[in-house]
Amino acid sequence: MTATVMELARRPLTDLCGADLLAYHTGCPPPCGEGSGVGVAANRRPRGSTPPLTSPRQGEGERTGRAVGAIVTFSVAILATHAAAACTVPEGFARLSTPEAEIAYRWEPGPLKVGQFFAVEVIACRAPGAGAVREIVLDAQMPAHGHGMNYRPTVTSAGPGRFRAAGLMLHMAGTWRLTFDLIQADKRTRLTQEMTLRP
Amino acid sequence: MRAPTAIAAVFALAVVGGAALVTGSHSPASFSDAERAAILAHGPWPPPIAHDPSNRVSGNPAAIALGKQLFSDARLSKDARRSCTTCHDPDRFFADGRDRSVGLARVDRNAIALANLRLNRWFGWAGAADSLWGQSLRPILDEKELGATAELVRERLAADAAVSADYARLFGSALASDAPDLALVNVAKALAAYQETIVTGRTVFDDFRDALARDDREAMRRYPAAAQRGLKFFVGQGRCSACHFGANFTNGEFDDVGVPYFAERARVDQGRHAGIAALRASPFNLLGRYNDDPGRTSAEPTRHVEPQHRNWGEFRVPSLRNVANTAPYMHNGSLATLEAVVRHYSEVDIERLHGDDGARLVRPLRLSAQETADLVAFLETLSGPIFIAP
Repeated sequence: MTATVMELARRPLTDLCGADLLAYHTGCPPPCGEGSGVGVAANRRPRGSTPPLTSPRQGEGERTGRAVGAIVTFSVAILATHAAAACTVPEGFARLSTPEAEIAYRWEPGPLKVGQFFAVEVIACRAPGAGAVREIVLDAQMPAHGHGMNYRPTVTSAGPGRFRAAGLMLHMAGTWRLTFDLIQADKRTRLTQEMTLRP
Repeated sequence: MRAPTAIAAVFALAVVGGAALVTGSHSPASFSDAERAAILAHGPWPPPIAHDPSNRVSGNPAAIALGKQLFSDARLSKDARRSCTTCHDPDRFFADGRDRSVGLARVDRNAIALANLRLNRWFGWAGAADSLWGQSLRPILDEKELGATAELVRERLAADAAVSADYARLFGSALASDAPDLALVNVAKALAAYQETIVTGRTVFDDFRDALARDDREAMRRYPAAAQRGLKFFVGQGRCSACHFGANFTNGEFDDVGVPYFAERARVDQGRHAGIAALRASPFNLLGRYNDDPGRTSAEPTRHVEPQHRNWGEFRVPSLRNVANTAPYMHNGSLATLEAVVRHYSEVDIERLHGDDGARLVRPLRLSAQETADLVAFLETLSGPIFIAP
């Protein structure tokens, strides 16, 4: 079993808690798990098992296999040494999941602001199959403008199944599409999330 | 109050006066929630300003005084005839009014007016410097600008007992015996301490923005109707505030807006692409030994900046504060008036743009004469008095 994975993501503002991102970070309830019992159930799951987390809102997932895509914004080669850590998600984290994978994350500092550098703490909850996630690739694009970030974040391990990405900066207000690629030996699983950064 | 300050103040009063004439003659424009949010993001002004952690004499009155003296000191130039003020003239809003500046030779770019510099993340049109002190030493060494060397600067200033004494008090070492590069960095840090004090005051726009924030319609009516229409276009259909964002009307980053990038026939100004390369190669960047910030948090942009193909032909998004006073415009000073700038965006040739970014964000606005005039009217309300260290 593998304790894995990573990275960021965020729901559209209106998807997060019926308000906007600022509202989420200043007091709206955690968008996933909390209240639905999902997060609590995950926290109680015994270490060594794969928490069968299901999210009330799923991100868009796609599996791209070995033919890894071109844009590599973050890349960290971290070999997972644990088969699977139970997904212990502290309060304040949001979740993003697909049928194959799930992560939990939070910004710091929050709320996000245009032009302000921030970091992302990520807890790997679930990745497909049994192979270890060896690498994390994260990117952010503005679909309406056709550009991404101007900065390449660095990702460091923060313990089994936990990562911290620093050096992100979103330089315009508007809708950003975040992608989180969980790279294992023979596959790459993408989680995507759109969010709107308000002025 | 120096000359430009007085000019700006008179200008501001004139605008206010003009607005007063139409008070009551028009209702405040109607703004959508999104437009209102975008307008409010252009303030409040002035914003809080912190000292520069990478410069241990930032905010130090003695450093500011030394920097002010050195700013007009021709000993910083090879021929002892030029100084920072040659291109950043205090009587011209710290610009020079030329399209492309002239030091020891004509350079490729327009002199950016100096104000509100503590709000910058990057410096220069290409962001080749990541600190104000790093930017301040660059023209001293540039052979087309002041053309000096670190050794020459140290030698000349060390011969001045008063400057040497100030230097020793500020930096705790002797100018004459400091390594040339260290001496140059410290001189640049004093120059930066002074330049940080150059700030612009409140504008007619700021009064309107604050009135909008408190929904004071009576105060909002004092803002000229044409400026309100221009502002609405600026934050709305024109999408100008995507890049000219925030209280300083810039997101601090870079973009290709279709200005020709040939510095001369068959020679291209690479813009941000070359800027990032120069930044990384510089021993004076914030990742280097001269950064006084022990935590190096100030180096975060430099640590993470990512060169990309679209950086070719990108130049820094300039602040629009006092823009009406700082013609000509664009990185090469190729547009003489605000009207010309607005016309550029009205008719921009997207075939000139390098990346998808520009192709999607920058597009011909096809403005009417009225819309052009409204945008100019709005831009003219961004002028305020300049305050400088006494």
